[in-house]
Amino acid sequence: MDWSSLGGVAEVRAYQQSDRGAARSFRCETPGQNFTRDAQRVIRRAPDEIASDSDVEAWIAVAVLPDAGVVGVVVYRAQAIGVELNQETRPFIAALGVRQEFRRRGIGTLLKTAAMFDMADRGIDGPTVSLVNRRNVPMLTLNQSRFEANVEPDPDDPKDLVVTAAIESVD
Amino acid sequence: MKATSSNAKKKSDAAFSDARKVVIDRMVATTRVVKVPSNLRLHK
Repeated sequence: MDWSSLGGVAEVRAYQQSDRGAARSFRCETPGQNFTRDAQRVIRRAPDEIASDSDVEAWIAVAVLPDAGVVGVVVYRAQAIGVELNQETRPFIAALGVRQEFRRRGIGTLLKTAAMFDMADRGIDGPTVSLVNRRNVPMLTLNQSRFEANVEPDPDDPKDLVVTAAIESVD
Repeated sequence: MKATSSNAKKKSDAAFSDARKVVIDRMVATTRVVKVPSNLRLHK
Protein backbone atom coordinates (compact mmCIF):
# COMPACT_ATOMS: atom_id res chain seq x y z
CA MET A 1 0.00 0.00 0.00
CA ASP A 2 1.39 3.38 -1.02
CA TRP A 3 1.48 5.79 1.90
CA SER A 4 3.80 8.38 0.36
CA SER A 5 1.04 10.54 -1.13
CA LEU A 6 -0.74 10.98 2.20
CA GLY A 7 1.77 13.25 3.90
CA GLY A 8 0.62 16.45 2.22
CA VAL A 9 -3.12 15.83 2.39
CA ALA A 10 -3.64 17.76 5.64
CA GLU A 11 -1.76 18.71 8.76
CA VAL A 12 -2.67 16.48 11.70
CA ARG A 13 -1.73 18.00 15.02
CA ALA A 14 -2.58 17.80 18.70
CA TYR A 15 -5.74 19.59 19.82
CA GLN A 16 -5.21 23.09 21.15
CA GLN A 17 -7.47 25.23 23.27
CA SER A 18 -8.09 27.43 20.23
CA ASP A 19 -9.70 24.41 18.51
CA ARG A 20 -12.42 24.19 21.17
CA GLY A 21 -15.05 26.01 19.15
CA ALA A 22 -14.38 23.98 16.02
CA ALA A 23 -14.48 20.72 17.96
CA ARG A 24 -17.66 21.57 19.88
CA SER A 25 -19.48 22.43 16.67
CA PHE A 26 -17.79 19.80 14.51
CA ARG A 27 -20.11 18.23 11.98
CA CYS A 28 -19.55 14.80 10.50
CA GLU A 29 -23.12 13.57 10.69
CA THR A 30 -24.29 12.27 7.35
CA PRO A 31 -27.99 12.08 6.43
CA GLY A 32 -29.15 8.47 6.40
CA GLN A 33 -26.14 7.26 8.40
CA ASN A 34 -27.13 7.40 12.06
CA PHE A 35 -23.82 5.96 13.20
CA THR A 36 -22.07 9.16 12.12
CA ARG A 37 -24.09 11.02 14.76
CA ASP A 38 -22.49 8.92 17.53
CA ALA A 39 -18.98 9.91 16.47
CA GLN A 40 -20.03 13.53 16.19
CA ARG A 41 -21.46 13.45 19.72
CA VAL A 42 -18.26 12.01 21.20
CA ILE A 43 -16.13 14.56 19.34
CA ARG A 44 -18.25 17.52 20.45
CA ARG A 45 -18.17 16.45 24.11
CA ALA A 46 -14.47 15.60 24.23
CA PRO A 47 -13.08 19.13 24.81
CA ASP A 48 -15.20 19.66 27.93
CA GLU A 49 -14.41 16.17 29.21
CA ILE A 50 -10.74 16.95 28.74
CA ALA A 51 -11.09 20.16 30.67
CA SER A 52 -12.98 18.50 33.52
CA ASP A 53 -10.40 15.93 34.61
CA SER A 54 -6.67 15.60 34.13
CA ASP A 55 -6.57 12.19 35.76
CA VAL A 56 -7.31 9.90 32.86
CA GLU A 57 -5.57 9.29 29.58
CA ALA A 58 -7.45 10.49 26.52
CA TRP A 59 -6.53 12.90 23.76
CA ILE A 60 -7.81 14.72 20.68
CA ALA A 61 -6.04 15.35 17.39
CA VAL A 62 -7.31 17.50 14.54
CA ALA A 63 -6.74 17.52 10.78
CA VAL A 64 -6.39 21.04 9.46
CA LEU A 65 -6.44 22.51 5.95
CA PRO A 66 -5.20 26.07 5.42
CA ASP A 67 -8.40 27.46 3.88
CA ALA A 68 -10.90 25.27 5.69
CA GLY A 69 -9.72 24.98 9.30
CA VAL A 70 -10.51 21.79 11.19
CA VAL A 71 -11.76 19.20 8.70
CA GLY A 72 -11.32 16.07 10.80
CA VAL A 73 -11.08 15.02 14.44
CA VAL A 74 -10.02 11.87 16.26
CA VAL A 75 -10.59 11.16 19.95
CA TYR A 76 -8.47 8.39 21.41
CA ARG A 77 -7.57 7.00 24.79
CA ALA A 78 -5.96 4.29 26.88
CA GLN A 79 -8.85 1.94 27.51
CA ALA A 80 -8.86 -0.64 30.29
CA ILE A 81 -9.86 -3.73 28.39
CA GLY A 82 -7.73 -6.53 29.73
CA VAL A 83 -9.58 -9.66 30.79
CA GLU A 84 -7.88 -9.94 34.17
CA LEU A 85 -9.09 -8.05 37.21
CA ASN A 86 -5.91 -5.99 37.22
CA GLN A 87 -6.74 -4.69 33.80
CA GLU A 88 -4.18 -3.62 31.30
CA THR A 89 -4.92 -0.75 28.97
CA ARG A 90 -4.95 -0.83 25.22
CA PRO A 91 -4.90 1.92 22.59
CA PHE A 92 -8.49 2.73 21.67
CA ILE A 93 -10.04 5.01 19.04
CA ALA A 94 -13.15 6.46 20.67
CA ALA A 95 -14.35 8.50 17.67
CA LEU A 96 -13.10 9.62 14.28
CA GLY A 97 -14.90 11.99 11.96
CA VAL A 98 -14.19 13.91 8.75
CA ARG A 99 -16.37 16.70 7.41
CA GLN A 100 -18.45 15.33 4.57
CA GLU A 101 -17.02 17.61 1.88
CA PHE A 102 -13.44 16.54 2.71
CA ARG A 103 -13.84 12.77 2.60
CA ARG A 104 -12.12 10.33 0.23
CA ARG A 105 -8.80 12.18 0.50
CA GLY A 106 -7.07 10.02 3.11
CA ILE A 107 -7.76 12.35 6.04
CA GLY A 108 -9.29 9.53 8.09
CA THR A 109 -6.20 7.41 7.48
CA LEU A 110 -3.97 10.30 8.56
CA LEU A 111 -5.96 10.86 11.75
CA LYS A 112 -5.97 7.21 12.75
CA THR A 113 -2.27 6.78 11.96
CA ALA A 114 -1.30 9.86 13.98
CA ALA A 115 -3.41 8.71 16.93
CA MET A 116 -1.83 5.25 16.84
CA PHE A 117 1.69 6.70 16.75
CA ASP A 118 0.87 9.11 19.57
CA MET A 119 -0.48 6.38 21.84
CA ALA A 120 2.60 4.24 21.17
CA ASP A 121 4.82 7.23 22.00
CA ARG A 122 2.93 7.57 25.28
CA GLY A 123 3.69 3.96 26.16
CA ILE A 124 0.23 2.55 25.46
CA ASP A 125 1.44 -0.57 23.75
CA GLY A 126 -0.10 -3.09 21.41
CA PRO A 127 -2.62 -3.06 18.57
CA THR A 128 -5.21 -0.30 18.52
CA VAL A 129 -8.83 -1.28 19.12
CA SER A 130 -11.91 0.40 17.70
CA LEU A 131 -15.62 -0.35 17.38
CA VAL A 132 -16.99 0.30 13.90
CA ASN A 133 -20.62 0.22 12.81
CA ARG A 134 -21.25 -2.52 10.24
CA ARG A 135 -22.69 0.07 7.85
CA ASN A 136 -19.64 2.33 8.08
CA VAL A 137 -18.16 1.05 4.83
CA PRO A 138 -15.56 3.84 4.42
CA MET A 139 -14.04 3.15 7.84
CA LEU A 140 -14.11 -0.61 7.37
CA THR A 141 -12.51 -0.23 3.95
CA LEU A 142 -9.83 2.04 5.39
CA ASN A 143 -9.06 -0.46 8.14
CA GLN A 144 -8.85 -3.30 5.68
CA SER A 145 -6.90 -1.64 2.88
CA ARG A 146 -4.51 0.51 4.88
CA PHE A 147 -4.07 -1.37 8.13
CA GLU A 148 -4.86 -4.99 7.16
CA ALA A 149 -6.95 -4.96 10.31
CA ASN A 150 -8.54 -7.88 12.12
CA VAL A 151 -12.33 -7.58 12.13
CA GLU A 152 -14.82 -9.66 14.12
CA PRO A 153 -18.43 -9.27 15.29
CA ASP A 154 -18.85 -7.35 18.55
CA PRO A 155 -20.50 -9.66 21.09
CA ASP A 156 -21.90 -6.63 22.95
CA ASP A 157 -23.58 -4.84 20.05
CA PRO A 158 -24.81 -6.57 16.88
CA LYS A 159 -24.55 -3.26 14.99
CA ASP A 160 -20.79 -3.04 15.56
CA LEU A 161 -17.62 -4.82 14.56
CA VAL A 162 -14.48 -4.99 16.69
CA VAL A 163 -11.39 -3.87 14.77
CA THR A 164 -7.73 -4.22 15.76
CA ALA A 165 -4.84 -2.70 13.84
CA ALA A 166 -1.11 -2.26 14.44
CA ILE A 167 1.60 -0.13 12.85
CA GLU A 168 5.30 0.48 13.17
CA SER A 169 7.25 3.35 11.68
CA VAL A 170 9.69 3.08 8.82
CA ASP A 171 11.90 5.90 7.62
CA MET B 1 -3.85 16.41 26.37
CA LYS B 2 -5.66 14.28 28.92
CA ALA B 3 -9.40 13.76 28.89
CA THR B 4 -12.50 12.15 30.29
CA SER B 5 -13.76 12.19 33.85
CA SER B 6 -13.23 9.29 36.22
CA ASN B 7 -16.93 8.56 36.05
CA ALA B 8 -16.79 8.53 32.30
CA LYS B 9 -13.84 6.19 32.47
CA LYS B 10 -15.76 3.83 34.76
CA LYS B 11 -18.68 3.91 32.36
CA SER B 12 -16.45 3.18 29.40
CA ASP B 13 -14.81 0.34 31.28
CA ALA B 14 -18.21 -1.06 32.11
CA ALA B 15 -19.14 -0.86 28.44
CA PHE B 16 -16.62 -3.57 27.69
CA SER B 17 -18.10 -6.90 28.72
CA ASP B 18 -15.93 -9.92 29.44
CA ALA B 19 -17.15 -11.40 26.15
CA ARG B 20 -15.88 -8.38 24.24
CA LYS B 21 -12.60 -8.42 26.13
CA VAL B 22 -12.06 -12.07 25.23
CA VAL B 23 -12.68 -11.30 21.56
CA ILE B 24 -10.25 -8.36 21.70
CA ASP B 25 -7.56 -10.42 23.40
CA ARG B 26 -7.85 -13.09 20.72
CA MET B 27 -7.77 -10.54 17.90
CA VAL B 28 -4.82 -8.62 19.32
CA ALA B 29 -2.75 -11.79 19.38
CA THR B 30 -3.10 -12.21 15.61
CA THR B 31 -3.06 -8.59 14.43
CA ARG B 32 -0.57 -7.94 11.63
CA VAL B 33 1.86 -5.03 11.95
CA VAL B 34 1.81 -2.63 8.99
CA LYS B 35 4.85 -0.47 8.24
CA VAL B 36 4.00 3.24 8.00
CA PRO B 37 6.21 6.24 7.18
CA SER B 38 7.21 8.09 10.33
CA ASN B 39 6.33 11.47 8.77
CA LEU B 40 2.69 10.62 9.42
CA ARG B 41 3.20 11.20 13.13
CA LEU B 42 1.20 13.82 14.95
CA HIS B 43 2.55 17.38 14.59
CA LYS B 44 3.03 18.68 18.12
